[in-house]
Amino acid sequence: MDDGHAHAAHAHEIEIPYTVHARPDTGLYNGKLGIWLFLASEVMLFGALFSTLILLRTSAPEWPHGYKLLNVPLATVNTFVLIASSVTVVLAWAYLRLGELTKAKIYLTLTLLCGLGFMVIKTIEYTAKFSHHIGPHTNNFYATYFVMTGLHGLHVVGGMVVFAYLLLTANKWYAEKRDQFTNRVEVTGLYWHFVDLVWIFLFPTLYLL
Amino acid sequence: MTDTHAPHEAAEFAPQQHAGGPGVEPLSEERHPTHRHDHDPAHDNSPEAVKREVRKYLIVFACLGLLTAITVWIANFHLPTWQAVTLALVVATIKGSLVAAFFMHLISERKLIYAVLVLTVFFFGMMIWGPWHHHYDAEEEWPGYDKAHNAAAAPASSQGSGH
Repeated sequence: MDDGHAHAAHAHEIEIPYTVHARPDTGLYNGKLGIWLFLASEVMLFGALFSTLILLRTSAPEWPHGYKLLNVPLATVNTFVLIASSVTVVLAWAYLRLGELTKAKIYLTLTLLCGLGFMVIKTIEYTAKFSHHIGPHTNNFYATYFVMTGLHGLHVVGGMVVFAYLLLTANKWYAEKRDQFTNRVEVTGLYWHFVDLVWIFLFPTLYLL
Repeated sequence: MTDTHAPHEAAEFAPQQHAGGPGVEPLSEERHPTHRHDHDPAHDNSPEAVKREVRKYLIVFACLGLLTAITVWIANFHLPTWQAVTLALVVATIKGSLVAAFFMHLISERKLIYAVLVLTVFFFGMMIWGPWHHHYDAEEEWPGYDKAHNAAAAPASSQGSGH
């Protein structure tokens, strides 16, 4: 909302179009099409890194096995944490559709906590490496490991910021624009599932092979 | 939004005229009761339907957990690289498909999103195909560059000195 606008008093009347209902030509509300276009660009971003990994790995005379250098048990726990967070966010959305805000907020909080848990474990892993003076500079394996998990970690943090925002504004949004808030949670969930999906591929390629 | 030009008389009846133009259709979607159920037919918001979905999500959760355990278990066998890569990627693809189909509900989505994804998959495929292509080229033109790979089964054997 533009508070400085001459019609500030009526600002609430100027709404972003198609936040709830489908645009006739796309058949989708704008937020959903927007997030899918964004996710398409994200596929290309991570795709470029996977492509680089394949190039480096297949071209190298030797490539270390991830399970010998990285902490597989911690990463396995993190995989479960992230999958669980995907379930909690989709449950939050389901409860919003049922009109149960309190339960939805509980599941959003759980999602946020899972994200936090993931980052704590990631920090433990990184700290262990740094304390042994291992970093992206060490070799190509660690360069790809730190770049890919680092970028993925940034995405987790980004998602957490959005979940925190949704939680903080939940009551107000829900009271004023319930359907729009529900859609926002859905769209944020789509992003979060994508972050989970990237990890599902990162985990075996970096840690298990 | 200019795709729904209101007739002039409608503009006259619009209570608030803003500089942005006439108060056309989607100003306040919440107030159009006729639109209440048309926005996303893929999502039935009846309690029974949502509960059925929740059950589905929990089943998918169990499957994802099981598949994660399977991937880690397979990795313990330290199979030869190509078998390990194939198996790990097959399991990851199944997991990814479950997430995309059910959590991201792609299983019942609009055509436009499928169109966007077909394009994305095509270009993603090109990016992944590139390095493979390079790999096979290198193998043909530079025999022995991959020796370390082929010798993985016999650890004590000599290393290819490609570089």
